[in-house]
Amino acid sequence: MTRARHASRVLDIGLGLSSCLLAMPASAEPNADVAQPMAEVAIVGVRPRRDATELKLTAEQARGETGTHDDPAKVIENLPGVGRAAFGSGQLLLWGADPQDSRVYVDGVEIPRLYHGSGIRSTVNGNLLQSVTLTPGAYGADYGRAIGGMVRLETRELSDDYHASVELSVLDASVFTSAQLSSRVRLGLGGRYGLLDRSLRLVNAPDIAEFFAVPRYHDYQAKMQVALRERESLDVVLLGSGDESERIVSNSDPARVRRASDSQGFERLYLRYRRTLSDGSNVQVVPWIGRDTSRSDLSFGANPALLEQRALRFGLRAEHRSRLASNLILSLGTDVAGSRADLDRRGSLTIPAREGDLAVFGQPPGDDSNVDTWQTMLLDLAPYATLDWDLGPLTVTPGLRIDGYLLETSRNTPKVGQTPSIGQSSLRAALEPRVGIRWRVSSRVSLLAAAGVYSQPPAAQDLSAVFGTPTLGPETALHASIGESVELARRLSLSVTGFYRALTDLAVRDPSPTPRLAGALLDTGTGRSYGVQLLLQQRLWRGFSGSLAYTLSRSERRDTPNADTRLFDGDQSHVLVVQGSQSLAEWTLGARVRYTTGIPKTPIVGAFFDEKRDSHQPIFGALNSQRLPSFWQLDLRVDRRFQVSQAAVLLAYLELLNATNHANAEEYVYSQDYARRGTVTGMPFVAVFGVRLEL
Amino acid sequence: MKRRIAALLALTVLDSSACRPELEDDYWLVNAPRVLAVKSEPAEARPGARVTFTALLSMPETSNEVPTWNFCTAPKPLTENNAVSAACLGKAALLSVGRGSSVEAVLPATGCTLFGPNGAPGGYRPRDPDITGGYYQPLRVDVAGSEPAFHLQRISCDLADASTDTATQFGLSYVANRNPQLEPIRASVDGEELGLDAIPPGARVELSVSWAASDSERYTYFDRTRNVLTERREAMRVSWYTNGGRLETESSGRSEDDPELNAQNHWTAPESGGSFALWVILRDSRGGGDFAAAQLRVQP
Repeated sequence: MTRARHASRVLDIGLGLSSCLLAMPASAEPNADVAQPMAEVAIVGVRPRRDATELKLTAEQARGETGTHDDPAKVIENLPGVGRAAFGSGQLLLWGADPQDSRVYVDGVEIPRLYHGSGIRSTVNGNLLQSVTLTPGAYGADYGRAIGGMVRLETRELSDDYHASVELSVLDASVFTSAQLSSRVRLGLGGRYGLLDRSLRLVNAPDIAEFFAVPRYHDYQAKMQVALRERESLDVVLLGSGDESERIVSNSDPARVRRASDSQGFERLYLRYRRTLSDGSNVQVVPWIGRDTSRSDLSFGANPALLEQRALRFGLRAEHRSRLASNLILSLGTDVAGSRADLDRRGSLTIPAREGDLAVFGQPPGDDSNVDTWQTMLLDLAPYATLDWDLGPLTVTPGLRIDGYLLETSRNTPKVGQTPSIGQSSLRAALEPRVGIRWRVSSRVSLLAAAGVYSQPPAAQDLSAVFGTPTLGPETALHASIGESVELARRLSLSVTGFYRALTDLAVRDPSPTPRLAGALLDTGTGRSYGVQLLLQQRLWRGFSGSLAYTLSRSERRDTPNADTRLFDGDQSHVLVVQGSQSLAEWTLGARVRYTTGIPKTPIVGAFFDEKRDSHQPIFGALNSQRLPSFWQLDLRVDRRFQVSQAAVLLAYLELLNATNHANAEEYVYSQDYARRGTVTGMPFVAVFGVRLEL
Repeated sequence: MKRRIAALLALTVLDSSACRPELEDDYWLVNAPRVLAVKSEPAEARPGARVTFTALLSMPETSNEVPTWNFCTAPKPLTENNAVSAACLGKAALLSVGRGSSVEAVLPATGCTLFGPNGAPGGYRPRDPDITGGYYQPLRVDVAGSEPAFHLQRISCDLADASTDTATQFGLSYVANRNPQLEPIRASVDGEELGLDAIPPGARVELSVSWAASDSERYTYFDRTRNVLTERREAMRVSWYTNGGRLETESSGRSEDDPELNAQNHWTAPESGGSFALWVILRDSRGGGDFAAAQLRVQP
């Protein structure tokens, strides 16, 4: 079994035509004077298609980076084009897109979230992963249903010998084991259980739950890999994840008691059939089914705020990829996804808050309260085709995707008495041409460009006749990017990419004082985000590897045609991540520095007294016209490998997160009369210690 | 061994209080003129009915300032989370009522359309009720030198989103809210009752107020989740304000299912003598209320 002993950081930025993943062989010692042979994973047949904007890392490379806590998917935070998520949110901010507009896939199967609710861990065990791929936008026709970006996780091929990995840290405990059951069947099983709540209890931090919803999480995975015939395989994969958190702020006044409990979970079961035909063409079919659940139960005094969603998810991804000529590869595929959701919502329309809402941290919802129970059925059938056309140094990849949406809701007007509901059904189609271009100017310099049209169906929770609008249609976007990649030296590369994203038909609240019945949301929102990202990457050289990722961007929204353009809630002008690690024999030392501009906030310019609630209410200034202070953080990591026996390796790591204990502002908070302002600060100095035993 | 583990885990959160905002918030302390409460009589009325409004002000007795009263006629957009529309802070949406510490006015006839369940003709969205099923007409009260205050006057509207039978039954069984009445404020130190005018310096005084059982009224409520009429009981809140000493909390109260008919607070008297104002406001969850003002005299 080949295992990268010295995890180097090799970002494959989607320029090369080779399909191999790069990794250091286990026996190689890092030495810049000797060219290191790379292990090559040969793919027989037609090479897979690559997006011009994608960044791909092997799991082994990713998990060694500082700040990942040995979790490959956490490396996304270190990549360009990715905004910093608020502490504890675990959201994906890709090229200035709303987190809800980006998608996460495992082997092509969509899962609802990359991270557990707190953002501490990813929802898929790192021991099951082969690679992590970030595509912040402008991707090809084989993926869709999102106007933001995407993160793809690829599960690894199970080895033919017994393998086990046991990991324990102050955050959680996990285990993963795989074995060959017969000559054709391999099985892998894994699971993880969060320990953070117990860790905090041990260190006697009883009041932390008043300020931070301590997450309890678990996930599990099973993969069976069956070799059917030569060049034909079938994977059966089960994934599951669950999160819970609870927070109670007590008070002698029942009206000021606050309770918040959240739970989220998903399960996925999918088959992945792959076959390489005799003519070299590839076939892949992935049918899947699953369930998503989420429940957010808040109460502010007697005011409830409940949002519960239970969804049956299903889909099918099928693709045939063949070579039409020596320089022409055709991909034909179908991407089907459906969701049948039951939703229950109670409370104020303003909770949960939407992007662009006038709100201040800690402000209770309005006194208004309503209820709705509804069902939705969203079905998207999307055939697509992509050509890879090599024209010497130029490769052109045109593609076309047609999304046909069936959108159904159980009720198109609010419930009145026992009146039977009248549902709403509509068919929408979206024609989505896409293109990618790569031009290898020289052996060291490549230029690339990509553009495309994208769409996504409305969120099920927006289709309520009481809290939303049942007739909402898909949201659409145009993505474009252009960039170049330069090999500055043998192991030093630089890539620069400019990007632009225009958004239309966004669902926004109706700002009118008298909105239409069953029309709380309008599809009049527009937006754009643009910027440039840079990645300077030093691959392993004399034991050192590192990178500098910088993104300069601006993301704006306009809610109605007559409204002023404003900053997007998650806009971050500058995002800089510098990280590096140095191997010294069995030791590896790493450091990471992150800097980001503070996100926009709406200033409070005054207050009035709400006599009924005996509280002050804020008077807001211009929406998102000020910012939180900038964020910066230094993280340090040290790990050491111990060869416990010939077959066992123990990795011990210590990560010092926010090593300088810098108080980063995560929110503005105000005195009750809004006369004084303070800040809620984020993660203090935290040390994460963990061990991983590999057998 | 356990100690070692604990020490290791202690590294996990070296400073768990780092998240805590540091804002001293003495919301109970009043040292400027302002509106503390408004009492309306009757506590709930139909649009077009005549109502008397009385303000509780934290004004020096010598002050000549009188409040100005205006109804607001602007409904709150869905984009705003506040109690009233931002338009109520301007002048365009105001309807003059008068001046004085107490005024009498006729509630605007459009209340149930603008702020209630009767959506405007043409298919417009009705307003959502509060958690007691009530709708409210905003009334702005201004005092010079203070931020605006808004009283929300509960208005009686028909039940619009229920079946005809349920709405009829609701109309027959629902009783409009009545204001509760505060019993006299009582003070004690270490369980021994004492007069409000004989408080020892530095003493930690338990202040207690109570109300009658009939003040926590039971009322008919339309449960939209189950689409049936049910009965609920009012929750009660007591707000406490003073201009000296230190109150333990700015509010206390009883939830719907709490049978107690009293609320307590603690006031720590200053070490120096003097006379300090105490204002106590009792509110029920349907927008009714009562208030009382007293002087706390600290005798060295």
